[in-house]
Amino acid sequence: MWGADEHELKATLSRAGSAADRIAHASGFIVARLRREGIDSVVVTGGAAVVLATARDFATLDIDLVTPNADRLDPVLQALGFSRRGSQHIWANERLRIAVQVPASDLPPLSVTDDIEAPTGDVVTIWSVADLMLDRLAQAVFWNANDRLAQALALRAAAGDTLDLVRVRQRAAHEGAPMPEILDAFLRLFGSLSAEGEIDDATYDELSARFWAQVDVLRDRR
Amino acid sequence: MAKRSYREIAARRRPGGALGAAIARGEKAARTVPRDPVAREALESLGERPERLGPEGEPRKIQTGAE
Repeated sequence: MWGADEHELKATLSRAGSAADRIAHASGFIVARLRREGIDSVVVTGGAAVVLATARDFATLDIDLVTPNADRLDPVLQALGFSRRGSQHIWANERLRIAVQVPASDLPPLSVTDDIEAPTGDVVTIWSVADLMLDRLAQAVFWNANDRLAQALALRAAAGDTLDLVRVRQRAAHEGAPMPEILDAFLRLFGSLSAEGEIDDATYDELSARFWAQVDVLRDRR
Repeated sequence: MAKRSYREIAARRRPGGALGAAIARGEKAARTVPRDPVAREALESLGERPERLGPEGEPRKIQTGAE
C-alpha cells in the first residue's frame, strides 16, 4: 500500500523523461520535503548533483546528500517509503528504485555551493559546479575512469565563464599532488568547450588522448 | 553565482555531439570507481545492473567531505 507522501513522490517521478531526469525530480522533491520538516542544511553531491548541474543523462539510482542532520532524515524518508539499511545513513525505496545516502556531514574545506532550480521547481543546493568538476576529475584520474572524465567535461561546459579559477586551483592544491597539474592540463586542453558542451568527435578523441597521455607523464614523475 | 535552472540548462544544450556520445559510452562501460558494500547492496536490491555497481571498496580518496 502506498502512503500519501510516497504516492506524491511517485506521481512526481512519473513526469520525468529519462532515468537521469527521474533522479533530478527525486532530488528536488526530497530536498523540498526535508526543508519543509525544518532540515535546511542539505547539499546534494555525487551523481545526482552532476545530473542537476548538467541536465545530462548520467545514470544513477542514488542521491548523495551532505548534511550534519543525517539522523533527522529517517522519519521523512520513511514517510516517502524508504527503509534504512543497517547502521549507515543509506535508505532505499525498492518500489521506486531510488536510494539516498549521506556520505559525509560536511563538504571538504574551501568548498562552495550553488543553488539550482530542480525540474520540480524546488531550489536545491548542490556542491558547486566547479567543486563537482574537480571531484569528478580526481575520480577519473585515480580510478582510470573515462565516464568520470566525461562528467568532468560536462561540468566544465556547464560552468562556462563563471568558473572561479583561483578558488578551484586552491582546492586542487589542497587535494595535493598531482591534482594541480592535472587540473591545469584538463583546463588547458578542454578550456574552449562551449557553454552547450559539444565538440566534434575528432577533437574530443584527440583531446582525450592527449589528456590521458599527460596524466601518464604526471604519474611517472611521482 | 546566479541561480541556475535545470530546465534552462537542458533547453540550451545542443543535441548530439561528441560529449553526448562519450557520456553514452561511459554509461555503458563497467564502473571502475568502487562503492562501499552497504551502498552496493542497497543498489543491488533496487535492480541496478551489476556492471554499474562497481567493485566493492573505499569509494572516495578525494570526494565529498572525506570522513
